[in-house]
Amino acid sequence: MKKLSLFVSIFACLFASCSDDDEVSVKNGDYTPKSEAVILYEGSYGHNNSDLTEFRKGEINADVYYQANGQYMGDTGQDIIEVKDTYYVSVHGSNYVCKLNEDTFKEECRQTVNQPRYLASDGKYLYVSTYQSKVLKLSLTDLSLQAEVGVGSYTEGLAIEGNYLLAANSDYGYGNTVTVIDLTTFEAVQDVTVPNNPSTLLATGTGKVLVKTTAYTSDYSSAISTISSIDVNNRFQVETVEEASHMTLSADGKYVYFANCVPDYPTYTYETSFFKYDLQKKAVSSEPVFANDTISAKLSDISLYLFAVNPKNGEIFVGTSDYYTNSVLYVTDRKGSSWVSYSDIGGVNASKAIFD
Amino acid sequence: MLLLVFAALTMGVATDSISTRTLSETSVEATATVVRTSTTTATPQQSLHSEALQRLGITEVGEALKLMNGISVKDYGGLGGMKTVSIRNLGATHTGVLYDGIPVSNAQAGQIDVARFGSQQLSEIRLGIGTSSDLLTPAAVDCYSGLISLTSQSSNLFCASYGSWNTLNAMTSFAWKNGLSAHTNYRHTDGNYPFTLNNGDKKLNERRHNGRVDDLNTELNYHKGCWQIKGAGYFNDRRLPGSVVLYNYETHEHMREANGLLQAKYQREFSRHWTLVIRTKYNHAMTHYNDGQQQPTETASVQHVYNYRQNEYYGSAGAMKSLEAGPIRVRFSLLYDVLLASLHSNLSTAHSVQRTTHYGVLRTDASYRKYQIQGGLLYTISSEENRNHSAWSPTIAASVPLWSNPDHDVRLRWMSRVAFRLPTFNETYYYVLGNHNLNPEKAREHNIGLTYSGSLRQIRMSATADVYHYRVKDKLIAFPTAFAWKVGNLGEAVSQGIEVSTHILFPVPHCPMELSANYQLQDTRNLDNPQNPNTYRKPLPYMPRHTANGMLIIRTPWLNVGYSAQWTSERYSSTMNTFRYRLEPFSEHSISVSRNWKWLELQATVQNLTDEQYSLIQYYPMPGRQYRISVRIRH
Repeated sequence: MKKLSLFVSIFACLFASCSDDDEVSVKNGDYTPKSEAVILYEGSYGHNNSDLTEFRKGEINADVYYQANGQYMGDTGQDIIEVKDTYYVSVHGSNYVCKLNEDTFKEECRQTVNQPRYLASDGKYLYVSTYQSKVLKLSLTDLSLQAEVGVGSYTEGLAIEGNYLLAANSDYGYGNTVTVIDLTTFEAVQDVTVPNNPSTLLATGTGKVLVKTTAYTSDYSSAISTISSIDVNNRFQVETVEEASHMTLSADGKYVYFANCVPDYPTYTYETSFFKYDLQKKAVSSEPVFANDTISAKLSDISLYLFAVNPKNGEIFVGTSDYYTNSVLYVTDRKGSSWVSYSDIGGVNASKAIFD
Repeated sequence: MLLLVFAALTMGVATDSISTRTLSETSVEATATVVRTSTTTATPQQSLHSEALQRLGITEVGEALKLMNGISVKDYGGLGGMKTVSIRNLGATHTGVLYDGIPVSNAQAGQIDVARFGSQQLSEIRLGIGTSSDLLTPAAVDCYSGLISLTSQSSNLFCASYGSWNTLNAMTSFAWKNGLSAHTNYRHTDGNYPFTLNNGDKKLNERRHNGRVDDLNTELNYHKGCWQIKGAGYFNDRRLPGSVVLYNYETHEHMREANGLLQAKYQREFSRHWTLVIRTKYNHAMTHYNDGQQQPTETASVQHVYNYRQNEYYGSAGAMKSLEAGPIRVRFSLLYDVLLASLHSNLSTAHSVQRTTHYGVLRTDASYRKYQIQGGLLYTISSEENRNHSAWSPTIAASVPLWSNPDHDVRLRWMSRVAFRLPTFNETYYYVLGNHNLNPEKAREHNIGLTYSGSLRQIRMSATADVYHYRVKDKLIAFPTAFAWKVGNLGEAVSQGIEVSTHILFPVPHCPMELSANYQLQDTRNLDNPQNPNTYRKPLPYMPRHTANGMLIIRTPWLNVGYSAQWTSERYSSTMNTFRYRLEPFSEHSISVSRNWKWLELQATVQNLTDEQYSLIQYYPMPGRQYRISVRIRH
């Protein structure tokens, strides 16, 4: 009987020793970022847990949409852009696009859009890709529908280069075209053939748009992403650039920073590398993205989800995702010499940062 | 408050006793109780008799199981919604279901939706945690951590009920003297119940959409002598309301299922020492699922309609040898089961897959007076395409009397075993989710408990208290990635807890009362990936620390009253315990009043009396208060 009592006591201690505290972001590293940013996190599918984090003076303030509006943003916050000191956000699962006050994050107006994806703007209108084979043209003022144009299936990324709006037709992994839309007439003028499964587009401002395409290995144990370039000024010719899963422009616009995050699904591990690509030389630069070996090593096995550079000061933002718990954020200076990490960015699947 | 009442009742057990003098489980069943918690078995066993189901106004097996201890019912939205059962938080794939002694299986999903079983045609619902005390139980169910056994009854009966949200349930059954019996059960609900949606600081009154369900279950049984033969058909047409997505209530998911089976069991005692059992089953199941999305263009390639066909051929044979020498009784059994399961679908990754699984189990139990020991060793080998799995699953359990006299019986019980489950077809083959290199998931289980039964001034009472510790390795987890969901043997988890239950029978003249109460304290944590502070040693989602339930049945010459209650403490839908994922504690109370005449019974039931707004799965709201009137005619 004594043994039984002891067993029960030990068991009770086991329960007593477990405590659950709310998640608290822990800083690591001695760098104090200067950027002021807003970070969108998608949340996890079906959990209505997307929102925004305000990043000011190195401090994180999560759930600012909820704080400002008293309601949740909804399911799968897909994209955010800033146009004329106003934020525009698309929320894919919850079927809407909204306009937020830049200072207060108060929602000023909302437009229901069936399965919206990515946003782009030329300063005159807001363009929205959708899973309904359409790109929409909305008023920046009240988000009213101005026009729509038919494109391919399950359209993802948008990019504006010159007078053209490009839309990536993923067709859920089966598509291989990018539709070119003339912004003057808002009509599709050409479908450019690219490798299978185009998703993200990046306008470089040099007449070229970079497109990311992704292919699975035959046994679905991994995925390989490739970046191609579409030359808007040269009959939309396509050429392969590099193997990479993420891309962002450097602050001076001369380089594209690439990251290649290669998953190994059976072991749920990742191999992640970063490199600079010189747009003029069309070659990978010998200069590393991160001068500091410590941060370079820390980032070598992360599951990368957010990769952005502040165009004003060159600070690099890297966000991770395990798809269940809140993302980890790393911020470095422009050379990747000094760094700081935040164990909790405030939400799951942080995917985009925009900078003030 | 409810918890305190239950706790007080539980603490008060020690003063009473029962005169259960035999060791076998069946001796307890011989009493007039309708709610049973076995105190004589080495492993936790509970059961609800048809009368309890009837008095409590329960019409679905899933609802009945919510009143048992040690399990959690994952309910995806109440009326007609899918309900799966997890025993001690191991997940629904570790739970086996037996229907009239033959396993119900689903090689595709690996978990049984218990919502398909109406409870009105059942004589008993039994839940066994660990191993069964019946040595002739099919070998194929020994790999599970727990077993739900459903036993049908043959009677001449017509039942019909009508309730909130156009919920209709009609069942008729016939029994002939030649051993034939038949029953048909039809259910319908519009499923469009109102609910309160918490959106941040706002509370919104909303209504479920796309929740209509129709299902028809029909059976023809032959039960005579050693033979038990069943032919059954099940048809289901349901809209799936899905999870509530804020600001977007559009949903058009639709599913149809058709299932036909033929099964037979032959069990014969050739002598006092030898018993033979042979079982066989053929099961054919078809599922049609449409996600309700429109193709955006004619050339779009995304699949929206899925068709599956499953075939199962099952055979089992075994024998039991019993030996007795004075107070010593020893039994051995040896059973061999084979299950051939195949899945055909319109998926590009799994047009046609097939698995053959062989199970062989040697079981034994021995008893000397009130001492009891039980053991088993299961070996499983499965083969499909180019991969094979095999696993050993040993079990040992014992029950030892600590204090025993004609009025009081206190026993100590202990069980240790290894359970496992094979990867399902979905986990192995479903599109990019599937992983062809999966290993079986294994669980090491330990249980130690005290049981008490006794009586005081004709008040009969039983109580049990168990402590358990389970550890799961190679846990099969589906995890999202940037490109698709994948499955891997990635998880490791520990589940531990304390379960207390009590049952009291008050033989008040003209007004016998039965009271049953259960309480569980549990803790289940993720042990995978110590490098990830966000998940390591964090509680797994949907694990309340405390759960309790109870039921009271009062029978009078004029009215019968059944009352049931459940209480669940706060829990989180994620390993992150923050406000976004918190689900409020809830309690649900239901009451049912009925009046019997010779062949007629009328009943009125109010479920969720207090109109509690809650969810078992986040964003799958449960129905609030609902009313139902029922009529039962025995003919």
